[in-house]
Amino acid sequence: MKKFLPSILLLLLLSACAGEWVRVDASSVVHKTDLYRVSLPVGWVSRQVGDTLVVTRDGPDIQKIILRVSKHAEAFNDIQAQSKSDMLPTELADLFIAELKKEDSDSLPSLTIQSNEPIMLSGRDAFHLHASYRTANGLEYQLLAVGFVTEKHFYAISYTAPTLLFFERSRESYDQVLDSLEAI
Amino acid sequence: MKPAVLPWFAALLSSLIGLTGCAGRDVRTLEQSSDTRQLTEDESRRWYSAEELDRTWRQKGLIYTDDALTAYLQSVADALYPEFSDTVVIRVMDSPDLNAFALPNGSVYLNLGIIARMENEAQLATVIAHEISHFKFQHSLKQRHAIETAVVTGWSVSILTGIPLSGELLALGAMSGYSQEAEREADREGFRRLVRQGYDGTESVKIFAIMQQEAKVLDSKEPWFYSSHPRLSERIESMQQLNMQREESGGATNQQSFAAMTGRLHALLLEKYLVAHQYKQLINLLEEKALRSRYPVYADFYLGEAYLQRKTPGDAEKAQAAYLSALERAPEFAPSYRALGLIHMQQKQQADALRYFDKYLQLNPHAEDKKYIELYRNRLLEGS
Repeated sequence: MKKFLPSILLLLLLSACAGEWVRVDASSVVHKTDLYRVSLPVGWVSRQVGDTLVVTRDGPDIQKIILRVSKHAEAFNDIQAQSKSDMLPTELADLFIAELKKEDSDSLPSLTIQSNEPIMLSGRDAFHLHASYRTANGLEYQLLAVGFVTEKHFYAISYTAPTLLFFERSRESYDQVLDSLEAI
Repeated sequence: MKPAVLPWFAALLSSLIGLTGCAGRDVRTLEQSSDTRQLTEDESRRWYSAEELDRTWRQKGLIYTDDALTAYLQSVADALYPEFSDTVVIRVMDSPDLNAFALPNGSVYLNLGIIARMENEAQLATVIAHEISHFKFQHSLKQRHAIETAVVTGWSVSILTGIPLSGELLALGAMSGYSQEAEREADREGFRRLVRQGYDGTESVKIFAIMQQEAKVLDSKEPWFYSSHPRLSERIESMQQLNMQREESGGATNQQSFAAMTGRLHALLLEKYLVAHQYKQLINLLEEKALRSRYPVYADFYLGEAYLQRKTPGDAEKAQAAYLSALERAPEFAPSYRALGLIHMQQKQQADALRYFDKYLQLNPHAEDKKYIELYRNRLLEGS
């Protein structure tokens, strides 16, 4: 019994806090919540985990788009910082990077910011980051992330995939998801 | 280096180690490098795991690469323990946290942060000598029962974090420190080597006091050996006793050669604290005049940034004063102008904001955040 205990606990944990993977087809392209509306790529699968939407085609380790909308007070929990409705995109980008590094402090030194530029998204000033990092196996991943604030929330959407083969392959799908995002 | 693992698990491990003490009484002491050519089964297993960790950390880019610095650290280690010069390898972890530890294969890691906080070579030698003593006495092997108990108790960690337990446990054990008995053994042997090499033994007390002060100010909850206030108190007490027992006094600190080799780490440390949002560490370092003097002239810029990150009442004014101080001391340091531009922009003082932004871009025409600053400038111009 002890042998199976970890697996049972894992299943319980997953079922308690996460929804099912749902395949995106022509009838479910538009994903809508109280806080945003976004178009997802057909043929990919999506899953809502708390305030986070995860979308992937071949599995989260291969490529994933993550959309998270948090209340200002919960925007950067790991570094115990908050967002505010009047924050500049540079301030948000700094907090986002610090949070990324805190989430997995092992990756801290290998996380390299390739670019960090302002963009407009959903009619708001946002930051647009391009970063890369290496895993324990030495595999390089690239990360694109955009973040902005509204009156009550911090929105962050990111795309992560291994540099080798996969990053460029699904980048266009991410760009389309990004362009379609509307904060409500 | 803090592995991405739940802090409570490290605390659990730390307390288990404390309770269990040296479980393996039959573990041999390594006397020279050749002793490592024929390993027992237990030793081989740990040696292999340690090599795996070395490889993993290197592949993840966790190692700070500076050949001159690494060669210098290695020379200090080799002089302290010439019999292990073929085996002990010193590496620098690219982390601002105060930590140092030895793996069972002789890999000794010093975090960039702990080196930057030291004042001289005698303090560096204290930490290196202490860590190599753990390798010599094979303390990680002696506390194996504590770790194995923790594996059974803490099995759920691997589920929650996805981290394979064997290697991480080895690292956690090394980073969390060992039983009181083992630590005292490392104190005695490390101190003996320190004074034999002609270093000033009193510096051994000072380096642990520096770490303790930081742990106290930050109210550190981390169980890592060099961040643990009670364990550092034990080290200070132990080093004081060893110094009192010594018949001779004085010795070398090699402060100048140490400063020449490690001085550049100070600026790096400030940047790492800032990027990681570790404003408490920045404020602790830079509000203290004696410490502040060891950092670059523009360090007040980092103090200003730290105040803005902390955001307690009055911090905005303190930040502005710190930026102005940095600007006065280092008028060519561009980030101070940027920071003042942002402050004035938020205070709706458009002319001042534009003046500072222009100066920033003039000093740093290829700034990484140039597009943001141009955006802010344009908004200011549109609004004026």
